[in-house]
This record gives sequence, C-alpha cells and structure tokens, in this order.
Amino acid sequence: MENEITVSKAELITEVQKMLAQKAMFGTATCLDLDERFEIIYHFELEQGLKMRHIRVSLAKDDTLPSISNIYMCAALIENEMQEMFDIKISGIALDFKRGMLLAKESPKTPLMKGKE
Amino acid sequence: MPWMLPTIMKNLFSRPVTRRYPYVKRPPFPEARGKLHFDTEKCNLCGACSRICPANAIIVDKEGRTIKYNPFACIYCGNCVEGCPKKAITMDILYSPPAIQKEEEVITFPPSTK
Amino acid sequence: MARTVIPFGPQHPVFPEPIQLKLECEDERIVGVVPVIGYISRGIEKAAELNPFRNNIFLCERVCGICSFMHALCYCQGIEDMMKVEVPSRARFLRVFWAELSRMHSHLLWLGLLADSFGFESLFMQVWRAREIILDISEMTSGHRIIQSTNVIGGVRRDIDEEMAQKVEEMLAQFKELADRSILPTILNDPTIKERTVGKGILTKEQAELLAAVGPTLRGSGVASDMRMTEYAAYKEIGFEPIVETAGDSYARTLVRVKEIYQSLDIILKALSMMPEGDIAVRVTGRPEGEVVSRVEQPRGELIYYVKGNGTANLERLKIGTPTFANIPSLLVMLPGCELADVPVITLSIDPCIACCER
Repeated sequence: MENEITVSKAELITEVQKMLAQKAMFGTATCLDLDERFEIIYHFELEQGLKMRHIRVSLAKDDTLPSISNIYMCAALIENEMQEMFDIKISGIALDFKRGMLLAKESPKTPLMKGKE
Repeated sequence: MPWMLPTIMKNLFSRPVTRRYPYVKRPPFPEARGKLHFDTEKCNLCGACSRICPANAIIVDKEGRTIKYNPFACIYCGNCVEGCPKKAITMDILYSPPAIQKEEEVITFPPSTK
Repeated sequence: MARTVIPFGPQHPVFPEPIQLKLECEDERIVGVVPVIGYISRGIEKAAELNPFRNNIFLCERVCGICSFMHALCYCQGIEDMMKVEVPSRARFLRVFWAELSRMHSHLLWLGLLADSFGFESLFMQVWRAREIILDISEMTSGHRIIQSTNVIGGVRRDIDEEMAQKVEEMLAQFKELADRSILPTILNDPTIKERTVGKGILTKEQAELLAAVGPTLRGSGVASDMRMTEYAAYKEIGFEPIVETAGDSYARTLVRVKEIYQSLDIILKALSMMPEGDIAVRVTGRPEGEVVSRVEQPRGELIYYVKGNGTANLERLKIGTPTFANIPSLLVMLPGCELADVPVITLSIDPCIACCER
C-alpha cells in the first residue's frame, strides 16, 4: 500500500507518538492472521483525511503488543476488538473489556483466526 | 394564540397524507424487485443461478429436474436474473407475503425431450 | 455525593438499535460513561472470508441497512482498485446519484429520530413524510426502497433513462418544496429545538481531532474533513465543498446534516444533468490479489475497508472500519457533565448505527 512503513514492536510507540505530533487522526487498525505470526496495520489520516499513513507491525503469536490507547484513547475499542477476534495479547488498554466487548460468553472464541469455521 | 389558527384550519380540512393501508395500497414501481419466476421452457437447469445466489435460496436438481426456490431466504438482489445465461428467470414486482410456515417452492420441469 | 449507575438501554425508546450506556450519575448530572456494545455482533468479517468475493457485495450491503449503498460502493471501489479496473464514467455518476440519495434518506431518518427523542412528534412525522419521496425515488430507480443493491464490481447494474431522470427531478422539486416549507424553518427558528440542542454535548475541535471523530460529528466541531474531498466516484467532476459548523454542540451537528441534505439535493441534480452517455459497467474477470484500503464518506462519516485478496475466489481478509465505531469515544467525552435528560439527544447527535458498529 502507499505510504506504508513497517516498524518493529519496540518502535511502535515512538512512531505513533510521531504521528500524534503531526496531528494525524487515528483511522482504524487491522489485524491479520498469517499462520505463523500476526500482522497489525494501524491506519492514520493526515491533512484532514486526505492522505493516509499505514504503520505495519509484525508480531509473533505468543508475543504481547503494547497498547497505543494511552496516546490515542480512541484506539482502545479497536484493540479490544482485535484481542477478542484474534488470540492476540495486548497490554495496557485504556478501557479493557477483557474479551467481552463484542462476543458473549457462549459465542465462539477468537472467530477470525484462520482455520476456524 | 390566533396566529396558529390558519394552520389549524388548513390541517382540519385538508386530506390526510397517509393511505388507509389494507384497503388502499400503493402499487410498487414497475422496476421493483420481487419474487422470482422460473420459465420452465427456457431453463436448461445449468445451475448458474444456484452458484451465484448469495443467500443459497435456489437449489437446482438436474437429475430430478426440479428447482427448489426458498422465497424466505431470497434477498431479492436480482443477481440470478442477470446471471442466467438463458434469461429464464424473471422478477415479480411484489415480494413474497408473510406466511405462517416458511415453505420452499418446488418448480418441477417436464421430462427431457432429448 | 453518592454515585448511582443508571443502565441506559439496551432497550430504550430513543435507540432504534441496542446499545447500553452505563451512566454514572451524581444526582442528575452524568460524571462517567461506560459503553456496552456487542448485542448484535454478526461476524460479517468472517462471513466475508467464506463467501466468493463477488457475493460479498450483497453481504456488505447488509452490514447496515440505511447506508447499504455506501458499503457496497466502498467494497467495489476497493476490489476495482486492486484489480486495476477503470469504471465507465456514466457508472461513476450513477454511483454518486444513489450515494447521495441514501445520504439524504439517512439524514432525514436521523432528523426524525432526533425530533422524536425530545418529543417533537409533529416534526418527526413531517420529516418522515418528506423522506418517503426520497424512498420512492430510490424504489423507482433501483428497485428497492432502502437496499438499492445496484453496485457490481466494474460499474452499476441499472441505468437511469431520460424519462426517469425527468421524473426524479420532479420528485426532488416536490421534496424541496416540502422541506423548505415544513422542515427547514422549524429547525432554524423553533425555540424548543434550540432549547434542547444548543450548547449540549460540546465537542471541541482539539477533542474531535484527537478522538478521531468522523463525519458530521467532526464537521460540527469545525474540522473540514470529508472523504468526498478525496474525489472518488464522480465527485471530481461534480465538485465538492464540505459543510462545516464551528460550535461543536448538538445543534451544530444537526445543522451540518440539514445543510448536507440540501447539498446532496444539488449534487444529485448536477449528477443527473452532467451524466455522460456510455456503458454502465465493464466486465471484470480474474481474481483479486494484493491489499488495498478504500474509503468513502458514509452519511455517518468515514468508512474504511481494508481488503486483502490472495488470488483465489475468496478474500483473505476484509476489515470494515465503520463511522459509529469511531464516534463512540467522542460520545464518552460529550456525555460527562450533562444532565440525565439530555443524554438521549446527545447520544443521537452522533447518529449511532449499532449494526454498523458491531458488524
């Protein structure tokens, strides 16, 4: 995709802070299950939405992702969704629903993982 | 409040905008999408409609020469009408009315002449 | 002072859809809000991975009934972008036509609900009466009142001929006359509406930007951001200026939407008059491969589709980022400090669409 950068897990927070300094607006985040690892793409919007910037983070399946919701509070909802739909660990979400935001107790667990029908 | 009087009088004597529904019905527009009709003469049971149906509402049985159409699963998208190579499917302007039991329609084809 | 937690919803007269807000109150004043969502999560993103990519158009349309056309448009534009398909220009104008039509009926629906939320029943009925004309146009041109279902990958499925365009113009004139007479003066002048909306649920420009509000919520706070400025479909030829209000309260958001109804009306008339002759769709063969982000402006705000194809008939991943999901954080900032009686109006002022939000 255009305007895309790939960063490591450790650089994520500094990169997101740079986006905040540029007055970028948070769009949304996408999580991809690539069998052996996760890939998380954060979509940001610059210049009142005219331009986009994507930050791609690769994450091992048993690794923990730092939450960006302390920088962008609005990312808390999508991070909650990611950890519910995928079996991904995110630490320090500002508003943690403990995997109970969209899914109910009796609904299928982590439904967007590959190999689950 | 005398300035309200004209509005009150107007509304009192004008006809209502709504229809007396069960007795007066607005006919659908001629392009409206509704129930499917299968033309048993044109259709050659190729099964294209069944493959492209997003709701799996059509089941074509080539051996038994029948088409099972479930109007309660049908989403009236018109995908099959456009995808039919023989143009054998047409759309009614009315969708299927509510019913107590969700019944499938079975369209039986005459035995093959070939 | 003792704090009380009042569960607001999921079944509440002002919400057409289920969402719960746990309102923490001190006396009549709200001090904290916790949203509880997840009542109608349907797993559409998963279903999209299991369906063939062409059938996903109909699935995307059913993410949300009111903005169904925009969802299909966003999805089709994403797939076309990925497969490098050039859409005929007549199809692009027709897409603008239906997109603005659904924006009009969505805003009118919302305006009715807002009037209903503070008990202004006659305005509610007047607005929905006017909306009926728009729905009739929709049924006449596309075959369905709400779910137009006219998008395909590579164009649109239905054409509008000269005679129909004439009739649409007549019906729009009828709508404008009705709106000018019974809706606009009431919204602009009525003291009860102002009493209930002016100064309620203020979202400042800085807050709106930081919390990533979208759509009329963002534009009501003075940020000129509208995805139609990115000139997708035929907005480049038609020309577009976003509507901005600076007050940031519920009334500003109402005004943005009311003005957008009139703006959409102009865009529809322009699209009809500027529409070039030609094909309405191109045949698309092959399978999508690659990844793409597609964005359109929905009535409620920016809609983001992330589509990843892997060269098979099924998609690898479809991510739907919806406007209500992005607007809920702003709601959590608007509500604290307000009175309990203002909660319905403020909640409605972001135009919540929970079906969109939970997908």
